[in-house]
This record gives sequence, C-alpha cells and structure tokens, in this order.
Amino acid sequence: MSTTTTTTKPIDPPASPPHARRSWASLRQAYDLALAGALGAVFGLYLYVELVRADSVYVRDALAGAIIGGAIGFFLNAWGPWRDGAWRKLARAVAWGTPASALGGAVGLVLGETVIGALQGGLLGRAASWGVLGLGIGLGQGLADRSWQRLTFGLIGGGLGGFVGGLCFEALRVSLGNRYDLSQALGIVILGGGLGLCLALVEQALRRAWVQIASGRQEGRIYLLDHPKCRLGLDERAEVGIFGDAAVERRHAEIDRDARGYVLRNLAESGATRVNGAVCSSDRVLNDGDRIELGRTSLIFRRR
Amino acid sequence: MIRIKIIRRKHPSPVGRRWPEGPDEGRGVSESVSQEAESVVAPATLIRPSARPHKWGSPRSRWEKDSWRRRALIGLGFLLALAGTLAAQEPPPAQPEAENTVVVTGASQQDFPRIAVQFELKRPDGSFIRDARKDEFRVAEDGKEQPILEFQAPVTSESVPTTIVLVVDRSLSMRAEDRMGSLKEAVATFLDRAPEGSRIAVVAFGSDVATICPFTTDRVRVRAAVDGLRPGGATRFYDAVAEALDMLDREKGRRAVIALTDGEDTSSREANLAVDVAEARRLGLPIYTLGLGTEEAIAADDLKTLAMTTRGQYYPAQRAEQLKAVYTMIAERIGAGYSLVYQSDHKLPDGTLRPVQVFHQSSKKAGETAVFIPGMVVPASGWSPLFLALTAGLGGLTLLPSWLRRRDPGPGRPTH
Repeated sequence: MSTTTTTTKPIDPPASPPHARRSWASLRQAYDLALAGALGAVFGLYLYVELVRADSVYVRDALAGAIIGGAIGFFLNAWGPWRDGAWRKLARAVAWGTPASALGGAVGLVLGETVIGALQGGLLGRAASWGVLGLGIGLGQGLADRSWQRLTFGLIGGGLGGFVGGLCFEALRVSLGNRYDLSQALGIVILGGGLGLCLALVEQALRRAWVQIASGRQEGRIYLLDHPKCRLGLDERAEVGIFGDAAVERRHAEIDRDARGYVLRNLAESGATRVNGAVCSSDRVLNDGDRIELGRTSLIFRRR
Repeated sequence: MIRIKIIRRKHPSPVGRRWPEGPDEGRGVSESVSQEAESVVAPATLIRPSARPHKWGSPRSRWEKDSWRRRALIGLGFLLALAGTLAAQEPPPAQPEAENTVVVTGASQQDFPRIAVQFELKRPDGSFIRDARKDEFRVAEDGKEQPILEFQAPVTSESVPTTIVLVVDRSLSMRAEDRMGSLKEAVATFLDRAPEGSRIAVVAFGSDVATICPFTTDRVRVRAAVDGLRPGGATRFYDAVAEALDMLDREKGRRAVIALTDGEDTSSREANLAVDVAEARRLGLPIYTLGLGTEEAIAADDLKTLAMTTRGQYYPAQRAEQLKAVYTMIAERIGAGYSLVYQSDHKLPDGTLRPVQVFHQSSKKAGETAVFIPGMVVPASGWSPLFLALTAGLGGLTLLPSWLRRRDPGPGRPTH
C-alpha cells in the first residue's frame, strides 16, 4: 500500500515533467516486479502445501524449492511480456526463467534445511535458511538472464528478501501461537516481493542505457539496451518490442552500440522514424533525453 | 508401586487422576508434575519417615542419616543382585523414592511425528533402576504432556530388542602385551552380561573393514568369530564405525555401537570423525568408545568427542586387563536403558527445536533433551481462504497504479 502512495504522490504536474515521468516509470517497474515476485511466491507456496505429499524431508524440500522458485521465476519473467501483451515473448522468457529459478529454489531449500538444522531452528535459523532459499532463487534468475549484474543483484535481493521474510515468518509464528497460515504466507510474500523489488532496484541502479516508452499501451515500460544491437519493432524477438501500434513495422529501427556511442538506424520502409521531431532516414547518434518516434509511439532514450 | 496406588486413592488429586488418560488439555506439565510429586510424596513421608526427601526444603533430621545408610546398603544389595541376574525379573527395590534422576541418552525423530526417547533412571548413588514401569513415567514436549505409545524397560517380561555392533581393532599393534587375548576375554564377558536377547554383530578392522559376524542372538557364534581374530594391518577406525552405523540403520529399538581401538586412525578412506558423528546423531544412537593404551598412542580427544556428541561414553583403558571391567560396565549401562516412543501432537514438520522432558514419579526433576524437527518451509495446508485473499489483494495492487492514473492523469501521461 505504501508503495502505491509513493508511486503516485511525488508526481507533481507543474514540476519538471520529464524527471517525474522517469521516476514514475522506475517506481512503477519496482512496484510491479515486487508484486510479481510476491504473487509467484504465494502461488508457489500454495501449490506446494496442497500438492506435495512426501515422507522424506529432502524430497519434500527439493519439491517445495522447485515449486516456489519456479513460480517466482515464472511471475518475474512473465510480468514484462504480459504487460506488453507479447505472448510469444512471454513463452520464451518463461521457458528460460522458470526452470532456472526452480532449480535454484530446490538447491536453496535443501541447503537451507541443513542451515536451519545446524542452527537448530529459532529466529536466526529460520531467517538464515530462508535467506539461502532466496539466494538460490536469485541465482537461478541471474543465470537465466545470463548477466553477471543480474546475478549479483538477484543474490542480494533474494538473500535479503529471504532473510527478512524468514524473520517475519518465525516472529509471527511464535507470536500467533504456532499458526503457520498467516505467518508463512506473509513470510513468503516478503521473500518473493523482496526478490522482485531488489532485482528491479539493481537494474535501475546499474543500467547504462535504456529506452522508456512515453506513449501508447506500453507507456512507462523500460527496456534495457544491453546488447550490442537492439532491435525496435513489432517483432516478438525484438529487444524493444512495440506492440499495439499499427504504424510500427516489424523491423522498424535498431540501436547499435559502437565507438560513437548509441546510434539509431532507421530500417522502416515508410521512413517514419523521427528523433526530437526531425526525420531520421539513416543513422543518428543519440543523446540522453532524445525523443524517438516510431509510428505514433514515442520513446525516450536515456543513458548514463 | 502398590504403595503409590494406595496413596493416590487416599489423595485423589484431579491431576493424579488425569495422568493416565493421556494428553492434558493445554495445561503446562511442569506444573502438573510438581503437583503430582507433592501429592505422592507428602503422605509417603508420613507413612515411612526414611523416605523423606531432603531436597524439598524439609528440615534434616537423624532420619536423614539413617536413610542414607540404608540407601547405601540397599544400593549395594541391589548391585549384587544385578550382577547375578541381569535380565531376570527383580523384586521392586525398596529404595527411597526421591532424588532419582532421569538421564536422557538419546532422542530421535526418524519416524516423526513419533519420537523415540532413550533414557536411564539413576539412583543418587549412581546405580541404575531397571524395573520402573510405563505408568511411572510422563513425557512432555514443549511443556505439554504426550501419550506414551511404546515403552521398553531394561527389565520387562518381554525381551527388549537390543542391537549392538562391536567394533574391534585387529591392527598389528593389538599383538602387544597380548591385547588381543584380553579383548577376546573381555568380549566373552560382555556377551555374558549383555541384555537377554540382544542381537550382536562384530565388525573388525585392520587394513580392511569386515563384518566378521552378522547380527545374531547366538553368543557362541559371536565368540567364535572374535576368537578367530589375528592381529595384522593398519587402523581404519572411522570406516569401521561408519560400517557399524550403516548396519544399525535398518534396526529398530535400542541400538548401540561399542568401538575399541588401540591407536590413531591411520587409513580410513570413506569416513572421518565428522561423518561418523553426523550419522550417529541422525540415527540417534550412542557410540561407546574404548581407547586401549596410553593417551599418546590413541587419539583420546577424538574418541571422547565421538562418544560425547553421540551421548555415549568414552572409556580409557591403560592396560589390556582393564578391558574386561570396561566391557562389563558398558553391558550394564546398555542394559539399564529405557526407551519410549510418544506421538507428538504437533504433527507438522516445522523446523523447530522441541524441548522434551521425561519425568519419573520418584523425581521432581525431569530428564531433558530437545529434538529438532526439520522443515524450514512448513507443509501447512488448509489456508485456501487466506490464499485467495492474498492473491486478490496482490492482484488488486497490480491494477492499482493503472486505475489511479486513469482517474487522475498525472504528469506521467504525456501532455499532448
């Protein structure tokens, strides 16, 4: 709830609109990813407690970790493409992210069980073991993204979220007199939410160059320009997929990173690519804050 | 025992009556137990002055000294009786009933929610009481009494399933001062003293580890196997202990490993101290270690650790002749162990350390231990309404920003 108010309150219309827009988009991204992680965690926990029946502790743990990790990975990866309505993109993102997180979760939970065993339970034991579970899922996420940065921040986010979530679970469990429903559900929400939030914050802190969509259905969405060549267009495989605008072509433009910096290259036959209002027919070096227009959709280029 | 029943009838306290029925209704056991103890013991002091417990703040008197002398005599007589008929049914000892101590030697949660607890009942003079009965004990988990499902006393009409693995050293150094001969004699004595019906196996180690006698109740066979040992080879102590633990993994009831070595482990390949400790703790069984020889020659600290961490005991024997006495002590110790199984009413594996207390009616103080139940994520089902509420809440939160912006288009929306 508090996140919601922070997302909306700082927006002060007459003040600097581009800055407000930017921070709004970043906050929205963090908020959405936190919610996606939390939803995934709740779904995962529910599936686990309702479906898994195993006598062996470690079999149960491995399954629990796989289900919870898989669900968190699914939601975190599915969220972006889902908002874009890009179903094939969603399927591809999920096909990588879910198994990786599931594997990370399974390993994390089994290791966490040995941690809580070594510490013989307690507040610290629970927090540390959940932290290990979060580390596992964050590791899985980082591996799925094949990026060291994401890996580091997945680890930080997962570890921190898991630790706080575990702490909250154990404290609530004890104070509620051994009730597992509310305490564990809240704990897992904090784990998933913390993971999602940290992944988003990390991305925002470390991103070098990105575009933010400023109009249309995907307004507010942020795409990292983290490949040497990023495609812009209606294509589901494009790094910056722009959907719901009939005037955008399948391969509309691309942004290359070379010695000059970030270079926008028009590929559209219609030639309807503009930068700061001027038509861009071939190449153009982009500067921070440039407004790119593809069809009726405008994007802001940002770099640090 | 009859005396207790009479007393109970004379002083029917609600607590006393409630005991045998099973778990109480959320009432703290420590409180109930102390009440029980008072209600039993207070009249006992009236009936028989010598039974007055001095721990409970009553003034000391000449009865006290009398009682100690009597107790010592009784203890001696009891020991003598024990030496003769270890496993036979003994008459109820007429010892004073306070100040016995319950010593918990092990607890395991292998069959969770059934939890097995092993314990001993000791008199103040250190001798063991072997014939206490099920209804004299109470077990509490987390301060809440639990019904005892299974109970085994050292002395019962039915034989107690006891499984023991003797791990013996047949390395070359056992040739010195006829250690092998003393070991064979000591094992023979042990076989005579071991609890009736014990299943015993022997693992011998030198450069290799071999089960020279599988589990059997046939003591002649065990003895023949040990008599056939010839010294030679290195010392693979930890591998041999690991093998013994592996054999006991499939056994039920009272289990123990008695491991003898006369030198430092030199050539274990698979196991080490940590592995053996972890495995024994997982199985919840004690390892009794015997170090034969001088402190320098044996890794006494490691043997001590192995015994202490598994709730066994370390017995040093400087000379080979002492082995016989040590094996006899261990046989007695194993023979004095009780075990019980209770069902935890807290059936979810929830990653908590649960304090377990075993009370005997003759003692105000409980034997205490704790079992850790693994389960960092608790498989607690049945929260569908909460799950739906959470999902709906989180789903609502995801839609909230769009909804807010539709109502109040802020600067995030381009102003064209």
